[in-house]
Amino acid sequence: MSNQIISDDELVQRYIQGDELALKTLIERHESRIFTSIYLLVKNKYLAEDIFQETFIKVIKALRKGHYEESGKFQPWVMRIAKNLVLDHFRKQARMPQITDTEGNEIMTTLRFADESTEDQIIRSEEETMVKALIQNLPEEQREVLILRHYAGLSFKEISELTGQNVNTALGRMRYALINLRKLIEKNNIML
Amino acid sequence: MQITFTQEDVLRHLYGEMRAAESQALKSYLLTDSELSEYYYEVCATLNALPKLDMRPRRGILDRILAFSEETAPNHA
Repeated sequence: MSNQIISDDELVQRYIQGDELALKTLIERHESRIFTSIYLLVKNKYLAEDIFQETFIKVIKALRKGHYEESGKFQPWVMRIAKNLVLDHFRKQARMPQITDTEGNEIMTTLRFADESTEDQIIRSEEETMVKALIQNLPEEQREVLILRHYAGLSFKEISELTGQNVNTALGRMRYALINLRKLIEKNNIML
Repeated sequence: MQITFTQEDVLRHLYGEMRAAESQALKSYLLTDSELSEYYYEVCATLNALPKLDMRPRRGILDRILAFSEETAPNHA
């Protein structure tokens, strides 16, 4: 049976009943959107991987305890867990000194991956440069909504539930994010 | 009474968060409001300029999650 026709909730039920493959399918189905969103929020691939792993460890524990009660909303539920872990990270980071190099760059973000090919590094570097230029300079609240809507694929209503703001606030922040992005694009002479 | 639409409505439309009838009404309205129509095309261009990212964690991360699941399964020997 194709993965596409099995709903997330059905996979959750199968996993709870002991089907380990169901978990693998769930993760593979959502890993790109969830991981990309975490990465854009924390701006560090190592850290994003840690948070991604910790997120799914929490998902596993919660599913086994029967704490998943959000029918049809598996991805927003996982994203909420990831978002809380991202916030935990920033809270801890606020209490810890940054380790930076002589130019002020965070050491961890400049490290390369041992198992990454040169081609992967070039592609990743290009993507990172584009993302940093276009998104990372946005005000935090606007950046968050843009990432959650455009990359995580959450609806504005789901974003409002996740962040505790109302839907109109989420829409307004997205509107300003796009206005500011456009200014950034024009300022950097990027062709649309 | 003429129904009016806002820039936020344009965003809901572009992200597929409007009912079909409402989207159709918005499209018709754009023909009558040049300012909102201009905004619509600007947003389309901005969204198209965003990088298409498909980032994934390294395979080992998925393996570790699955190993944790198997090792902690209720009926794990």
